Amino acid sequence: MATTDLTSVGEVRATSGDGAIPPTIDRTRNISGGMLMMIFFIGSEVMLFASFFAAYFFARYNIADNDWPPLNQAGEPFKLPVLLTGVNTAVLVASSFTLHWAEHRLKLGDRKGLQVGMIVTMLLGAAFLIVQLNEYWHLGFTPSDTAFGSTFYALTGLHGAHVAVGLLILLVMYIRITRANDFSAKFATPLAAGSLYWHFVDVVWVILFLLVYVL
Amino acid sequence: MATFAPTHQEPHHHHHEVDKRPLSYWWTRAFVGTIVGIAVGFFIPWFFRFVFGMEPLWVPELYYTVILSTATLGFLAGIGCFDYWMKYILGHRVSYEDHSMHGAYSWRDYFKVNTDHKVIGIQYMVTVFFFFIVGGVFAELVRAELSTPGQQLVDGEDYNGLFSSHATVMIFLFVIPAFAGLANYILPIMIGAKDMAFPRLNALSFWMLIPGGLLLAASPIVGSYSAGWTAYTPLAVQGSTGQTMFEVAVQIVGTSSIMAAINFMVTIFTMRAPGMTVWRMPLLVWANATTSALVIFGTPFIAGSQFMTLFDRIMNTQFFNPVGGGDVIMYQHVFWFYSHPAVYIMMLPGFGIISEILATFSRKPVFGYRALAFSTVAIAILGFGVWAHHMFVSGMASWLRIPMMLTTIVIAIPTGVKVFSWLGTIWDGKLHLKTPMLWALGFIFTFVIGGLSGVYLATVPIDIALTDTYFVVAHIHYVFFGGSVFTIFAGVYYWFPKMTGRMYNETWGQVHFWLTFVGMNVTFFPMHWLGFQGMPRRVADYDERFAAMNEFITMSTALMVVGTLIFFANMAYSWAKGPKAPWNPWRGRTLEWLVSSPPSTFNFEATPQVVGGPYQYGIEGARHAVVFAPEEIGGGELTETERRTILVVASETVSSSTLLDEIRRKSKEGPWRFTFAVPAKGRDHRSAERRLQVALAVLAEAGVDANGSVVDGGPIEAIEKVVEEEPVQEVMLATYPSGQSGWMENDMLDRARKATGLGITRVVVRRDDAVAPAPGSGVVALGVVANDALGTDGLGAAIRNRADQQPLGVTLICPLNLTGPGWTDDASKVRDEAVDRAQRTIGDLVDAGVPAQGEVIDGDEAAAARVAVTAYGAERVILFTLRGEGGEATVEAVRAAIAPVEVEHVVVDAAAPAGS
Amino acid sequence: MLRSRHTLPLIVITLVVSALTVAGIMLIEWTPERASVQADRYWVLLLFLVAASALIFVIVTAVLIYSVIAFRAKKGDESDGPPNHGNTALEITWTVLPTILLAAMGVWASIVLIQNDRRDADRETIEVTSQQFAWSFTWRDGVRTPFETGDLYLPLGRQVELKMRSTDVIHSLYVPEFRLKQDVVPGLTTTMLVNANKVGTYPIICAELCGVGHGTMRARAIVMEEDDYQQFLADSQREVRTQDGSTPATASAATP
Repeated sequence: MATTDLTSVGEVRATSGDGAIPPTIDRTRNISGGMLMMIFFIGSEVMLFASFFAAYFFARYNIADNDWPPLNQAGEPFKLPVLLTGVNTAVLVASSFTLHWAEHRLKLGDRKGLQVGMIVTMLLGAAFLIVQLNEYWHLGFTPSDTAFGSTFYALTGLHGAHVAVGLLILLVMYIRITRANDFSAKFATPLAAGSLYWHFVDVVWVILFLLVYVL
Repeated sequence: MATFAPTHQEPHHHHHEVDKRPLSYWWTRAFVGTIVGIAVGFFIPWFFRFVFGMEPLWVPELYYTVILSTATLGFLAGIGCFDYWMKYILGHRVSYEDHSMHGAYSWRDYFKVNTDHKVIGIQYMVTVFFFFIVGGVFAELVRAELSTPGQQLVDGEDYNGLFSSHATVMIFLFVIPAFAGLANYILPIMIGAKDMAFPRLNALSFWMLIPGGLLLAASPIVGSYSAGWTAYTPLAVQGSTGQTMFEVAVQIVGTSSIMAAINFMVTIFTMRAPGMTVWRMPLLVWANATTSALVIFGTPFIAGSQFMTLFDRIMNTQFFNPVGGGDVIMYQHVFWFYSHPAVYIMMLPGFGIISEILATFSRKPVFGYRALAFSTVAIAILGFGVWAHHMFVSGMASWLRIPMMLTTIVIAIPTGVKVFSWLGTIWDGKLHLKTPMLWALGFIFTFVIGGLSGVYLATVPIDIALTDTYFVVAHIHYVFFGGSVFTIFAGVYYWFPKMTGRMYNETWGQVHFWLTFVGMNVTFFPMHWLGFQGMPRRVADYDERFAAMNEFITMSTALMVVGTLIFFANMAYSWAKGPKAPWNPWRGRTLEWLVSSPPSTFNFEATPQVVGGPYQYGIEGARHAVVFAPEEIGGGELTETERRTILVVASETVSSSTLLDEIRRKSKEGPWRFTFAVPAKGRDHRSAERRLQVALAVLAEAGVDANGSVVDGGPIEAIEKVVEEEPVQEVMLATYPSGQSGWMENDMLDRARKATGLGITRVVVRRDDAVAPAPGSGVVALGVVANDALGTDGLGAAIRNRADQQPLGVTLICPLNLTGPGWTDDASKVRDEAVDRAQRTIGDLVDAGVPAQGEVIDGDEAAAARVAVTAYGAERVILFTLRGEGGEATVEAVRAAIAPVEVEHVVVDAAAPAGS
Repeated sequence: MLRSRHTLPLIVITLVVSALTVAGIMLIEWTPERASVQADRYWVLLLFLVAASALIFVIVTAVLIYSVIAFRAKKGDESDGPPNHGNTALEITWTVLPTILLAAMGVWASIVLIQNDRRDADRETIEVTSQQFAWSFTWRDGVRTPFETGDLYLPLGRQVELKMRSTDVIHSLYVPEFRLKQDVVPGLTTTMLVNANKVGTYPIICAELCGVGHGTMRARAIVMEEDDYQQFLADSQREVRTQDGSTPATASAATP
């Protein structure tokens, strides 16, 4: 047998080989496929947000020369409810903590804790969405109102859609735990992938809040 | 040691029943799903507008957008892409290793959701070539309009739609998914995996191409998108419904692309066979990994750009409206931030394919493997920093031009490194100019031209004059056609044997190449001149002085059209009827060549072990990987030597034990396969056929891979016919000894050497050996007991019929039934006459292709039967008697004598002796 | 070692390919006449590019052709070639030399670009308006009455700055003989600087897809001697006055 190091230590053996039974996969890397998939997926979603952030930056700095926010039809600059949204931001950040706590309970084998944590997370996420929708209702401008409105709604709307999807993911995991009894150490990986998505949604919001609302 | 492996196996239904629902079920569901999707898509915007009192209620483009999206989802749900996940979401018990939708067992499986990457790969390839035709038809219509100045065939809007559709279909529905499809089939096998990391996601990626592709290809019906595939705003905001379809369809095919890329990344990262470090990965894997990263991080930008245009169209947003503070040029920045990496997405996998092919057909390692790997990554990373070279005259910030020019120029360096490394690979090699190699070499020529014209366009002052002219059209077609498409053809020809299990026709492959190579250069090179001279692009009407050149270009496209038609004919015919392909027709070293063509359901019976680099040609004993054979053919290790074909040419000697022993001995030396050609010129074909069947049966029993046929012609004709159809490495010629052999008298050995240029081995078979039945195994040893029945038509016919059903070796024992002493003259006369008849019968049988031997004995039928069974090992005995002789007692006696051996009694009519 | 038997045939093939390439370059008239200073600067840069790209093309093509002839495997030869995995010196050479060539090109091109963008003090400013599907040119210098034409008139030997705006979608003003092109973008004013140095009439072509009439959106760029140009300006003032039927409002000094 020629050459070199075999960096991996997988056991190689022939199976009974009747064709319909696949050979065992020799997973010699430590990261799970599902987690890796979520990481790449989040990467592509980050780039999607980046394209809308680019639109925002062009509208604000290239066209408006940072004369921002621009004037609305009444001749006054657009106003954003920074304080209320700040509180909402705290709500969303809190939900990341509760989810992290829930994951911890899974590792300790505490099924009740896991379920409670997930329900609280979902409630906090739903609360965030409701407050955002309410804010939309009361903002006083639409997406058609200058590039300010367009980029604002596009960014926050895209984010809201991601929160909604995140809630769905949490819900599905919750169903798997309760109905399908997926509660086990093996569930830690899908849960970790799902919670990574939630944390990503959270981080994007913090950045969005800082760049669009605060600055 | 194993000598062959089972191909495309039937499942043993151990764990999961293969899904049995018929095709009609799935497509009915898909149809219903689409209808439901349309209804839902109509309802949602209507509901919101109604509830919130928005006026007007009917906003066509908004509804179309939602309807197209929900209809797509409905179709995908109906065809079955989401079934498994829905079960998971709803909390049912699901098995991760659910293979109910895995593997193709009939043509129908290709029209359903299937999780086997090999099936998906073929689904991709057939689909993309369908869209290749669509895109090609659009191109021909464009060229038809362009052959003379002025507007003739189509009106302005339709013309703009034609070139827009041509580009969009070729980019999103041909080049990008073609590479995904080829990699889908080959890459998992190449890294020693049983499938992709996420087979169900894989299936979804493919099926998304169907609605997405239909939207893009069919939009001319509703008024095409006509702002170019680049869809610049504000023109795109002005466009018709076709533009909406474009924007929605781009999202669909973009999502398909991203999901496939994530799948590739995870597969490559986590499922490589043990021992495959990144420096032992074939370059195709490097290329696909890099390309997947580009897709994942780049494609969302075109999604974003199309979302924004869509919103401007349907929701009156101000992204690109200067009146509302929007930024028109921002569209171009966002669009090109993806679309420049997109051109690398369309090229890097092709680079990987070329590296594979050049190494295999030069019999040399890839020159500068690490440089090629690093340059691939460098091109991808740098590729994110050059987008504005598409925007030098766009009116963007002028300070950006020089940095973008410099980064663009820098990309030329790793690209140049690749080209020189490829030249280094072929230099001093042993070049085999088969069709895949021709495409690879042609690619180097045309891609260099395309790359050089790119350097012109990178230089800003030059670009200012040349951008938006036919110079750009020339450049893009040299890199897309002479680049991407050439590599796709190269890959298709290269892996066709692996994917279909058949060889394509080499001659027609070469014809296709030359027609396309010449046609492509003659069509697109003059466009450089047109660009320099100032002909703008995307116009149907142009200066009179360009008329002759445009007409010439349009005519030249005929070469490519003919070539493409030949390609399709070759592929279709060869797939259906081509000669069977060996495992490793090209003697490649990467893992896909170490499994059967096509591979079995899960590719490998056991995880292979990688022990070296993938291109170690020229190094004695170097190996890339060790593959294990299935237990049922001996298990153990499948060595990496290529399976070679030996052609055996034998006529009457074909079933002799001398020849068969020699073949058995040779088969132990390596995984040979043997092809028989039995020349039957001027002889009875059926006899030759029977002899051949005997030989094949004996060899099959011994586990030797052999097949063949009777050829109408002499030995040289037989040799030439076989060599034309399949690659042969050696020839065995079986003849009678010199002096007895007609072939040797006619110098057959020398003539065979001249005809093939190969080594010829002569196997000398003695006459008596040629006719003797081969011992045991696969050939039924038949004992024939007959005396008076010898020489009748009936006996000969009966035996020949049985020989047609299965290979026979006949032992004829003629019982003399002597009543008196055996040494008398009378007895001698009887004996001689019986011997005579027996020999004639045996001679007739041998002539008819049934090996026969025999003897005459003094005793009776029972004794004859006993001799047949004990001395000659007969498994079955036929007793022939004449009609009217009443042989019941004889039959009983024979049966009793040799029980439990089966005895058959055949009564024949006394008649004129069978012809001599 | 290898060099000895390959060198001569390789040189022969290189010479043949070079001859064909040079013939192709010299015997075909590739570019239209040059009518601006920017075109002249472009021309020299182009020559350098052509030489460099011809060199690369010739080397690659010659090696390809030679390889296919010299290294073709003989029939029945199933052996492998030598296991050459690379040659560091060679790889460094073919990375460094193109880098130098490309760097030179980048620097030269940057210089040309900067020179082309320099504004002359005595330049003439003309406004360009593009719309689907026509060009119009307006002279508005604050001294004379503004007037508009369908063709662009330029003085010989003096720089013209075009200030361009679009009323609808993106267009692009392109004059092949000037070797100049600039997109015209709604919401912005884009500029183009041209120093015309040859009298003549040249086509103005729209070079950015703008809709159905993109192919026929044409005008003319007419370069004339300075005296003729002044005459043209004076004539157009008269025409404006005649159309108006009123005395023009001049900024300061009385009309001559």
